[in-house]
Amino acid sequence: MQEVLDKMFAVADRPYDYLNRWKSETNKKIIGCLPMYFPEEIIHASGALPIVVPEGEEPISVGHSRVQNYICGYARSTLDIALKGRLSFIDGWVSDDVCHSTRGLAMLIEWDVKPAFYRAIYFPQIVNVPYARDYLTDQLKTFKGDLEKFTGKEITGELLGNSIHVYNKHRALLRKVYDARRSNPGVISGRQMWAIVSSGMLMPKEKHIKLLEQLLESLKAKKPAAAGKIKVVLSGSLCESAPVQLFDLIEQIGAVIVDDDLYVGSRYVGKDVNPALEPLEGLADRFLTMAPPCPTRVNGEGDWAEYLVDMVRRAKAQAVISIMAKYCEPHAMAYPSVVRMLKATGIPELTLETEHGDVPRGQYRTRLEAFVEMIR
Amino acid sequence: MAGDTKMHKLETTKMVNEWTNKYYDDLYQLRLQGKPAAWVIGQMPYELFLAMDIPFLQWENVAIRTVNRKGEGQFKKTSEAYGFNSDVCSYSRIATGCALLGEADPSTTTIERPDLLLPKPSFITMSQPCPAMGYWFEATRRIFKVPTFAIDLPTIYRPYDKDEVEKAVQYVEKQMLDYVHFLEEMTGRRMDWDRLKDIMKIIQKAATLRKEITDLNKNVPAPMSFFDALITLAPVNILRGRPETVEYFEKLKAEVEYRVANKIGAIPNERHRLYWDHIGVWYKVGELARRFASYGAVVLIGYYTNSILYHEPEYINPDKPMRTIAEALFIRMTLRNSSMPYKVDELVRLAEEFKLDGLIMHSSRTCRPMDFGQPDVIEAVRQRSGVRGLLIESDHCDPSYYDENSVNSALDSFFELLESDKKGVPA
Repeated sequence: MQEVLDKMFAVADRPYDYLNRWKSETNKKIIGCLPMYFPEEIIHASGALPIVVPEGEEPISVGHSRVQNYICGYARSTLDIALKGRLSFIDGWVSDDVCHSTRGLAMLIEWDVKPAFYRAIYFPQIVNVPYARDYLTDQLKTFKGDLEKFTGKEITGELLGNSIHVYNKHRALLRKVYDARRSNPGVISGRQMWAIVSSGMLMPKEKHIKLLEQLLESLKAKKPAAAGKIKVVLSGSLCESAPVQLFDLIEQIGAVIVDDDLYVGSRYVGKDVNPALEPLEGLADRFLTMAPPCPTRVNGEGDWAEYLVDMVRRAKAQAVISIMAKYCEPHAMAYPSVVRMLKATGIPELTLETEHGDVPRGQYRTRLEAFVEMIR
Repeated sequence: MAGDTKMHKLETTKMVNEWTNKYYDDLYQLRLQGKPAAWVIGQMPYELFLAMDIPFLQWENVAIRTVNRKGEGQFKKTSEAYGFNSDVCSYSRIATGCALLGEADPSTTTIERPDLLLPKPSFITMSQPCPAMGYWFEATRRIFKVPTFAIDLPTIYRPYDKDEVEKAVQYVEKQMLDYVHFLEEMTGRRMDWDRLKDIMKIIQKAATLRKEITDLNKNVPAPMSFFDALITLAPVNILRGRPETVEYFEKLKAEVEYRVANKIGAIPNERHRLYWDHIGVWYKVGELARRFASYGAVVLIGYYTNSILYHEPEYINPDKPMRTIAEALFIRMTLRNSSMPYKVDELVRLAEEFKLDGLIMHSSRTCRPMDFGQPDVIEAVRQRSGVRGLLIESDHCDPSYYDENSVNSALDSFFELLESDKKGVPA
């Protein structure tokens, strides 16, 4: 298991090294997708490598000359590292307009970074509009055409169908990993789960599928890992990459993470594309009916608060820890209703606010310890 | 800083104040009678409500009114206590607090400003020129469980792409007919399409006059300021479609034409002509107007007063109300917001047409969508047209984010620069 995880950590911990090397070895294009939910399958079908652009790790400097400091950390950081040239391996940028931050970020990527390929596409926010499906399918068709021009390769229905098949397979395997953790809490640590999903957002899916298969094989032999520990579900942390030091802290104080709805987590997995639908329609359908429910959407199927309660019950967890990125407005607006539902159902909840940069370990440790004590 | 802060106030502003006060008095009466009104989040086609006699309140407008009457304190505290942190849109915090207190039991809760409370919702309706209105709607519908209808507005990333724009207009147009059916369901009445056509004709007439008045600001000195326009949006916003709005614009046009003919400016000593980006600072309109006037500066055009709310009469066709609403009201309002090339082109053009000396780029702490790109816009416009820009940070509706010293010293330095420009002295 460690061997497979080492490979995943090598990618997740040093993404730029990995991607630069991959690019020089394959001579292929890399398309950076702004979070969340971009239908990567279309890019995969074109022969380019779709990646979810990871949040930068360094303090923001240059970025602050272009963007005010009360914009979310992901947007500020991504613009910052793009301007500094860290992401020069990205040939094209795409965005599905998930919120006003990525909307503005996409606009500034076009203006300040001037990539060879840039498409920001409106994906319906009000997902139950009867015409949304046709509108989005049409938008994806236009996008496919633009991408074909850029890559010089036709994206046939067959190629798309195949990419969807690959991605569905990848998601199925990730779900199995989540099942393994849920049935044996502690067998995969929070940091390890982050590396598993994060590397999956950066590597070609075919390669990552092989690693996941090896991982699942090695998990079969594992013994029960965390008897007697407080089981928690992590919620939130949408576009940003949740600070892994926080996961370490949670485990250090004696709790164990059994499930999550984080973007670099089960939210990235989400639902499968319905293979019975025409490929582009299937991709549109997956977006419009997304699960877990997303606070950036309006009139979505299901309720995030209810989904979270179900998640807690299914995992037999005892508490929820909400990870709220500062200046993330969709999360902040949805938060009161989520917290109320958890309270009404008797599920203890702790909110930790995160910002781009260092984790205030001391402060978090104290709060986590008190929280866990209260639950015991 | 020095100089006279005298400004020439428009006579016609009084008309708007009277009508707006009556509008809110009527809403308050509804509340006292225990009757509901439609709740609007974002921009909506009020002309449909007018055609069907549906009373409505628009929450952003309520928030503005509240802050102007210094009533936001308890509303903000209430929504923050409910769980909405102070980083979220200030319109939504004030509005949600007002909505929550509207339901509070006065025997257990002391309500500081009962005069600012409003009717409960008959239904909640929303469109999202900014996606935060979507999140706000989601939060509101979970608290107030009434029927809802939301209209999905596409972001236009390539406003020069006619295809992209047309597809967006058609997408919205389709939703508009469904919306009318929803309103018919809510009221038990049918839409009177003839009445709606008459209303659209009034809107067309009003919009045509308004555009003519806007263009009169190309004159030197500018006869009407952005601050005047900010406080008289009601005739194109919550009051639009009413017959008296035509009378208002006719009188306003006469007033403005008189000033042009007699070289009377909005301020007596016009030295600097400015554009204002983003929403105004609602609780500082008068104060900022006076401060600008003291430098001989007149803000004569801005996004909020000139680029929204049926600002392009050529797109209004009373025979096609659904298309008109989709195109002239909705899509044309937001299509400059997500494209830097378009924004910069627009400002360079306005700088020339209106003989601008500077741009005031207002950055709002809790209205982030329109904050993006402002530093770059300043740089690009300066490069292309020589016109300087200033970024000032505050908040559109939350006074606690207004730093008096910071704003005043930024303005002072900026006007010093503009004066140096005038004298040909290197800054």
